[in-house]
Amino acid sequence: MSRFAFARPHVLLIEAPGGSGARLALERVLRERGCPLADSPADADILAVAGGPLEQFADRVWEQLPGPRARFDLSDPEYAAAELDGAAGQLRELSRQRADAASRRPPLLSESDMDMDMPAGLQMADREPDRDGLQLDVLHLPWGPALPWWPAGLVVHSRMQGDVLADAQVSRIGGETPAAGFWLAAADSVGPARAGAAARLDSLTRLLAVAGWEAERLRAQRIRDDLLSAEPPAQTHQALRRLHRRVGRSSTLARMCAGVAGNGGVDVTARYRQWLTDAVAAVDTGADPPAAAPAEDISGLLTELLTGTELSAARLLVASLDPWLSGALVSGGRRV
Amino acid sequence: MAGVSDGLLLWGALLLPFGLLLVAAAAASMSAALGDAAAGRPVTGLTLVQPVQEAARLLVVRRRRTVHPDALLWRVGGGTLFLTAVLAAAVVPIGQTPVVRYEAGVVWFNAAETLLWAALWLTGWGANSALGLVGGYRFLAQALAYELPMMLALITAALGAGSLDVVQVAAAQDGLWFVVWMPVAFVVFLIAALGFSFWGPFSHPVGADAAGGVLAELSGVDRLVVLIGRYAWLAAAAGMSVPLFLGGGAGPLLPSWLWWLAKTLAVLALLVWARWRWPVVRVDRFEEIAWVVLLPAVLLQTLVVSLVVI
Amino acid sequence: MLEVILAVALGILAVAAGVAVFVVDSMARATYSLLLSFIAVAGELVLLGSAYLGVLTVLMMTVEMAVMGVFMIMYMMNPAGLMPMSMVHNKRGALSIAIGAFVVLGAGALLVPWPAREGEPPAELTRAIGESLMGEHMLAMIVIGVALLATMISGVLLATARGRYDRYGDDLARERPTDPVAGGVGR
Repeated sequence: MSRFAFARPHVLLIEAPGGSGARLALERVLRERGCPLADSPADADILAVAGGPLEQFADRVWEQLPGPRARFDLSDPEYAAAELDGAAGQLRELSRQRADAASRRPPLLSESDMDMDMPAGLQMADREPDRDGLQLDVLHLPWGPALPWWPAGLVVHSRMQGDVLADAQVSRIGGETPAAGFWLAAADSVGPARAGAAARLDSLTRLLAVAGWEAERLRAQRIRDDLLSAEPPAQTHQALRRLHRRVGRSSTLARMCAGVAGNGGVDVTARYRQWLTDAVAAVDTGADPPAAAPAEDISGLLTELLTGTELSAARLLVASLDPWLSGALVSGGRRV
Repeated sequence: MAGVSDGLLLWGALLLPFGLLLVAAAAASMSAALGDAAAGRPVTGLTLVQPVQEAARLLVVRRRRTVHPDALLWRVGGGTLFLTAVLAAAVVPIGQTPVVRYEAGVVWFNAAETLLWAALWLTGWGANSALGLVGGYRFLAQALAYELPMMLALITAALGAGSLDVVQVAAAQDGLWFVVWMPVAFVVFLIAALGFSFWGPFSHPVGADAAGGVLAELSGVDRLVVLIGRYAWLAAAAGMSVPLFLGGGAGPLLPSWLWWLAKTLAVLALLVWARWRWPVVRVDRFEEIAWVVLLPAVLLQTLVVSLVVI
Repeated sequence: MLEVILAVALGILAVAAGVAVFVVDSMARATYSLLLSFIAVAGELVLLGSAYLGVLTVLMMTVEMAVMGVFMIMYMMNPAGLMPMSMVHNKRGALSIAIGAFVVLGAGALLVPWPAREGEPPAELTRAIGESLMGEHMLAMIVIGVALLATMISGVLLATARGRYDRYGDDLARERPTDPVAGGVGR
């Protein structure tokens, strides 16, 4: 019964700095096996951290997975399928899961804040004026680094009122451009054109995931995986052109992404269209088109853009700056 | 009791939830097949069984506890989602007879749909989670956007037939299906169906950018119940669109219930496909579209229909 | 007989849910207790023969309670009632008025000599309601409808802090209005 139930376990995939290769390998294996990627810990059976342990952040996420659960850290892309099989096997081991369940405790809160007769030690939220002139509760919510569809190592400490980020502070763990090394190595192994196209498609998949277009995200992932493999199948170019047409010309997506950053900010629509055009150009001409960075200080730009934006807009903005946040397209378009 | 007559009341009421579950499972299978096709996997028998497999998984997974939830509201919200779908499906004529034949059946369907608002908001609120709350309020905003155009679309169909009784609305289409001369109302109804099932382009309340929104803190049986409710609402909406716009069970040769089923499955396929065809339409953008584009369009449609009827 | 039992049960439910509105601490629970009370009243309407009005009551009240949820978050400091605060004011005055009104209306319902029914209810009740509203009083309905719409729109406009000059600039010269959130139509 549990073999049937966990035939396609849900996997929460988190990228640690330096884990691009592992993440790509895992995404490929999961897509081929039909295992859905979970949006939240409550929906996940397996926690997969690509690129090695993510300090205490991964542990906090691990605590939120409901049982039965399994986890693994993947540093070597070669072992993606094997680790996944191992984790899926752990899910079915009844004795192991029972022991795990017995050892878990309900969430604890600090006893020291019990000066008032507050339920479960929770403090009442502060209220502050928000952008619409209301007095709304303020919630301190950190975004990342252990978040699916999120650039590796990025942490955004936000003060949220409702679903608006009233204040945001961007910081990094694990260095400024954690993925640069991987994409340079990819350029050496499959050629700069295919690597450049794949890097752009990789960022596009995160944008499509956050924008909620699962079908095109899956197709973009497929094309990206094919481009990075040793022998891409014949219809890859055709598929990429079709993707360029469908996603680039989608008026719905364009309208959703237009004006996300307010007047005179980053244009998300233009950005993803540029990625698609550059990817097609790279594959057609065999040369990787240069890509200019939007600003010198990407983290500073992001902080400025995120302040006062609504949640979905914030995620779209982060996704639109993804190639420069991760270092896939190094500033100035030159591969250092 | 007023307004309730004929119908297959007793044993129909017992069979209705199971029938609805079957159609809901069909929707889930269709969605799984489209997902596999997009991912580049071959669509096999296992794909079509995926709803059962996912249900089995959710039954095995443990339920999630959050810090200080409003447990009563949380569980009531999740549990009543499927119940409201059953209520809505009760007035849908399967062929020619519904389970409950209500004098104001069209308004009954609308009322059941508003109960869905309550259920979903309570699910988002009850978990005491920031993202759940965001999801619940996203849904309310979306509901306020599509509700008025949907009400007018329903009224337009009732206007064409001169009655609020769904059976009579279906019967009034024996000459010409309503979808032919009130296409705007049909499209608006389908958009609203996607909206109240928070499916596809209107799945922002459960969007990936908010870690699943309303679904963020749901696990195990609670999650299963909400997902079943979601697919059941898609099924109920597709089932309702047939007597309202597609002539009910009318058709040559085959019995009327079979025609109804065929048409329902066709509309259901269309609704399911919408998820894979379009990205998520965010609520803040949809609000303006609904009030400035959809509402005047439906009003014009109602005007045209009322001129024709008179 | 079944109808009498149902009527009594719904009545008790309506009153109990109504009392619960003031007893619970959480505003969310109060809102949905109120909804439960209204749904019980709608059930009574259906039992009394008003098929259309019954479901319409459910529909309208549910939407209103949902909108109350929106206002609850906008304006309340303690909507979940987690912090023990007393949310009721003027308890004595309100209770005496409420109980007094209940007694008067209940006594009226039970003690007034209602006339015996002459004739029968029309076969299509909804149509009869529609005709009585729209037949002779069509002009009044149209005017009232437009006046209500105008009032609602004016209310929203008065409430918003941003006017034309904030959106289009001091000389109304801007091409695109500056709004904190862009709408979907792209205006």
